[in-house]
Amino acid sequence: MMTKSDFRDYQVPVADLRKTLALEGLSYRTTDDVPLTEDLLGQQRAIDALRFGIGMKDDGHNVFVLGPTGSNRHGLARTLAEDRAGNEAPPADWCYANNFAEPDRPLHLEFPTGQGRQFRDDMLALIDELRVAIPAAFEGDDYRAQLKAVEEETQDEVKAHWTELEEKAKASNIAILQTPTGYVLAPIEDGKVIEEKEFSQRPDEEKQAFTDAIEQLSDDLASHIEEMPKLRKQHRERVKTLNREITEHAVRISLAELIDKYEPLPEVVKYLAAVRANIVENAQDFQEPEASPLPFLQRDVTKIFAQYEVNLVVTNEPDAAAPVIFEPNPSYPNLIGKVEHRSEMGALVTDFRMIRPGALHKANGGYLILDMHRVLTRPFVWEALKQALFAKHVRIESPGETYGFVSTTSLQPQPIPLDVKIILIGERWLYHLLALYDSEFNDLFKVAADLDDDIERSDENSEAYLQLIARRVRERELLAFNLGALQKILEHRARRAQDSEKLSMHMGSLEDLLSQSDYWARQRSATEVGADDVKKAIDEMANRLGRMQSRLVEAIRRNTLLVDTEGERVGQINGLSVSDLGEHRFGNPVRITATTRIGSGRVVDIEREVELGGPIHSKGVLILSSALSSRYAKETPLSLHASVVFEQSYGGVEGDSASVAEFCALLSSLADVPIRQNIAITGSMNQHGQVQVIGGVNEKIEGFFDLCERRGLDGTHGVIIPRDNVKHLMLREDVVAAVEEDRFAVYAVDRVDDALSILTARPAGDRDDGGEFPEDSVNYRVEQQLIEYAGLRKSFSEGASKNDKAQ
Amino acid sequence: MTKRSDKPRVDRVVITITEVVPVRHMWREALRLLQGSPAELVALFLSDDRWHRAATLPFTREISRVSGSHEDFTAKRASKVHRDAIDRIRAELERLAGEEEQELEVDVLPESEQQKIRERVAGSPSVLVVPSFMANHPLFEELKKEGCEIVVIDS
Repeated sequence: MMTKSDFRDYQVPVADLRKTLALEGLSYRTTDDVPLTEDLLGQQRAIDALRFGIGMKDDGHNVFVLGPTGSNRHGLARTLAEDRAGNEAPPADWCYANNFAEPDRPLHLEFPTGQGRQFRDDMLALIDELRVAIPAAFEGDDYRAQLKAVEEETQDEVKAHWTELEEKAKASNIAILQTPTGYVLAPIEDGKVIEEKEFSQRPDEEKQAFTDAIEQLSDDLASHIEEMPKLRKQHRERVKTLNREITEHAVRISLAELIDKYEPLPEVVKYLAAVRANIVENAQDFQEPEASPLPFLQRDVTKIFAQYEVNLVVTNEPDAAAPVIFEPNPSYPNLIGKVEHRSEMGALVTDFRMIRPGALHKANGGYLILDMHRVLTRPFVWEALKQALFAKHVRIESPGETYGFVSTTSLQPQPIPLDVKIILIGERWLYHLLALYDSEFNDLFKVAADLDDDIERSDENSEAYLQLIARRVRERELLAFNLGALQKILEHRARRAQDSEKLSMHMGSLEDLLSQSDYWARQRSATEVGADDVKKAIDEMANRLGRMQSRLVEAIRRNTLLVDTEGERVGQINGLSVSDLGEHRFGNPVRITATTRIGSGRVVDIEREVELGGPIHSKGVLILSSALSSRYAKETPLSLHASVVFEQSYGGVEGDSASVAEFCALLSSLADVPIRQNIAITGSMNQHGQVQVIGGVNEKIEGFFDLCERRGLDGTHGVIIPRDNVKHLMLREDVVAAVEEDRFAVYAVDRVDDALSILTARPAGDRDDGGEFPEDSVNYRVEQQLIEYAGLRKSFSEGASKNDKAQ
Repeated sequence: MTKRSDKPRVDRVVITITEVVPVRHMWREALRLLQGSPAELVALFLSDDRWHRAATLPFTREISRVSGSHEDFTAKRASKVHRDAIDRIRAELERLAGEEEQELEVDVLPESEQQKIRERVAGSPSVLVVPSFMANHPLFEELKKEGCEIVVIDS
């Protein structure tokens, strides 16, 4: 039997278990002393991509920032966009104004930066002025005199017609009598109407003369009546012309000043001319209305003047930079804009003043940052965004109109030209999914800025990382962190990166750690944050999320979950798994068993059979199956039936990190050689028996260590890991201390045979020059067992064949 | 156009109306004259009996003011038009009086009954609101001589 000392070569040196950082050489004592530079730490590839995308003005060079949440994606995008925007002029102002020709299609007006606001104020001032000036003009003596002249002119015309008629009637002794509904012509004598009795006594010639005259006068009267509407229309036209002249005079001076002021802007001048024409055309609307008995029918002069307001949808300060907008809720209206409505007497009404800009308007001429996940989860937003980018203008319309769901007439504001750089932020899988399935995505988002999850833990980067920490500490007004605290943080960042040679760039978790460390320091009334505060923060965080871990540990302690940490068992091994709860990961040992018997060469993965095993796990089992047949009894058919299983595993199993453990359990069963239960193992393997890296190595070691420590470490306990995982080790200090005190061991192996030796405390056995394994080696026993199975199977097969023939 | 001669005291304001006067216009003027005065308000409807005479003639036609079309104007038609006009104007005046909480007496007299008209109006200081087309009626000239004030309203 081999002993622990035989495996010294496999033991990982204490120094490699946790790579610490010596900060003593630094010239500062706390984060207050750390000089800050403008340089951005790490992410050089992403930064270069972002700078390129932001600077590239060609179509479609919008940027997609790929990275996990908490990786400072927004901060980086915003910082670089603001850097660029700071050197760019602010964009134009945009207003919507009434389209007098087509009121449902409001016009846009573009102004040099800041002038949009000025124009809006100018129009409001104009309205104020007109509200006074126009009614005053209509109430003035001049207007009254002119109106009276017009009325008298009309009256004279009417009177002339009537007088002519009356004189004609008088000459024929005919009276024109008015009734409430018309006129009656009657013969008169001495001013009195001749009655029928008297009339009948008149000579026939006289009677005939009267009737002829009445007939002629009736025709004349009818003609006169027909003439009246023409005269009334003529009168209205005269009054209208007068009103126009009066209004034009009232507005001419004010509008002329505005037209002069905005002369360099032809579209604005054109709009002002339309305003003037409209005011003049509707001059009568500006007179104070008479009180209506029904208040809701009262004409509201305020509304009439409101049509000359302008709706300032985008404005910028002339001394500002180009806009950098982040829209946290990119819903359709928040992105594209919307037309609001108000309720009036049970109906929804709107006008150009109720057009509201979206983020695209606000960011026009600058940069718009959006969360891709939110863009995709808000209905219609992604399509609308692409449409706007392709069309290079933003058209405000409701999704209902866009997709033809509603047919209600609403406003169709003139689309505003769009020149915006979109920076989308999202997870990597989202980017790749879109790149694969959305053909338009690649045309519009040609620049990918892929953020690294971590950076190299070089001295240079470590110092830069300290600067990053110091900046965060100062920005958030936390207590200063001393060197001990900083050392702990850097080590924890390496641990989070799952690599002792790297530092995690997950800024969200860093900021959490900083603020929680600050909290614990303040709890003890400290003036600066020390290493203990950082440790406390880390431990408390783990503790808060440690309910499931505690339950597992308790279940093992109470033998509800069976895991041996002493003795030896055939076909039974301690594997290691990791549970990931987001911000908290922990490892725990799991019993893996294997059984073998004669069979047709099939290795059964029970997890897969019951659909609890994922594809990668199944792949690992298939690899070990292949390794088995290629390593042993190459010239005989593989005649076994083996099964491997994660005992007491009731959830899914995924990953191939247990394939070495499964293989060793299988070999133990075949060779009938027991496996030490004080050792746990993790690692994947290839078909040649080489052990390959796995994830979560620190948590796995610590998971087994915690269990063994609870049961009592006797120096025999340890964990076997792939040698290539040594660089990832950032073990807890108590684990390192136990190893240092020789109470625990971490073994690193390259080959399955190395692991097999440690696990069985006997040589695995290498083939000699003759291709044979040494007798009594584990591999020899495995091979012999497989040969025996093959022989037995052959004899079974022959026996069956003879029986068949005999029958 | 409104003309008025000054009088120190008024006991009665008379709205002189016919079938074709602008009632509302004359009512407003009457109210203005009454303002702050305890004077009596009377509406005197002078019906135009010339229609009735004309209606006896077989060839009399009414020519519509709106369309210029002709229609037989019989005695029956004249009576109906007359009745409708009185009812309409009386209702309108009573409505206006009700709105203003103003007591009002409406008398209907044929224009030809000038003696009765004089008796109704004379006897105390009165102001007559008269439509312009009747202003030159001899009756009002006589009443003016008898001390009545005549206020003429454009019609």
